[in-house]
Amino acid sequence: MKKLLWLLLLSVLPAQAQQLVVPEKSKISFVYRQMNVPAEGVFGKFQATARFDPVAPNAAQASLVISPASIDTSSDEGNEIAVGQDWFDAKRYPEVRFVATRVAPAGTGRYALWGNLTVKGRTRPVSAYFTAKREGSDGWRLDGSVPLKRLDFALGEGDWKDTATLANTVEVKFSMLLTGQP
Amino acid sequence: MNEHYGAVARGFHWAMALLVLLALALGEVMTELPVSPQRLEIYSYHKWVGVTVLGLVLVRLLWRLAHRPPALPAGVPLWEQRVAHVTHWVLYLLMFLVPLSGWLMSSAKGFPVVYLGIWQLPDMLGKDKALGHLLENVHAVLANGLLTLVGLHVAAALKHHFIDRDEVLARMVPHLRRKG
Repeated sequence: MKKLLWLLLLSVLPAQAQQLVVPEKSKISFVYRQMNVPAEGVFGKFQATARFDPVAPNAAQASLVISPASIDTSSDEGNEIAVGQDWFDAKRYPEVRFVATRVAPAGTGRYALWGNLTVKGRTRPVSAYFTAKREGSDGWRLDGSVPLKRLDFALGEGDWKDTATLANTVEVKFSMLLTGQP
Repeated sequence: MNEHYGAVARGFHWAMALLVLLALALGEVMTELPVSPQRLEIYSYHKWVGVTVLGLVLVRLLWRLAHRPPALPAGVPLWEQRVAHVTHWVLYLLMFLVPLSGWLMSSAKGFPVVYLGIWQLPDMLGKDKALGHLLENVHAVLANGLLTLVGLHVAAALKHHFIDRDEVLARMVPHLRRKG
């Protein structure tokens, strides 16, 4: 019941929110390490809704839906593997979802964010810090990063469970441009 | 005409022979493997060996410029001496260019080279997919060229030893020197 209420609330939110996340000026990327070699990947397709007013950060709201099929790991072969069953299994789980549950100030221009991340049917609480900077007349640039353990979400099954070659920790980074009046 | 290469030159030669063959073999194997942790591991080993070759060839070239190699036996025809001379310098060039093109390719593809998994080498190029693909081809063509020349080099050495029955191979393997 509580979950349903949340869903209802979230489905209503985008219609009410006057602030918009500008997808072409926003980016969700990640840094993964293979044999200690850092490489960057991005998710090309995602939809985000957010409401953020630095004067009242506690009232902030955010939700994000990423299409794992849009992943680019910097390697064509890597992309094929990444959408496959051992990784995102994008056919069965076409969406990665994040819903913020709480935002709190954490220093000047810096905030802490809590929320639930659902990947491959597994929901785990995650938290991240982000910064907010003015961009344009009414925009906010929100930059943050969060180290995630890929195995918490069954990312990498079979041989890929081995973390000696491909590290368990993946640094996920987001840079969002939010425009409009909160 | 029993003059042979000194210990340092022989050390460079045989260490380089081992490393170049190892890098070429790893390069062959890794591109045939399906994408797997094992393959990623071998890619790294291949790069480590390649970087070692690149470093070693620079030191070797400095050494070579300061030391004259022993002369070829007087019986070797002039054209063969010229071909041998050119082959040796092209080998040096490829021992430099093959790993360098690999490093550039890796940079362009967005994967920095981390030597021995410890030291991250600077990226010499920014990430550029098309350039990465081009450099992949350049790297493969140069590596095949190197493999071909190594083959010729080995065939020539064996021909000198077993057909001409001269002292050319013995310059690099003093144990093989013929008595008398």
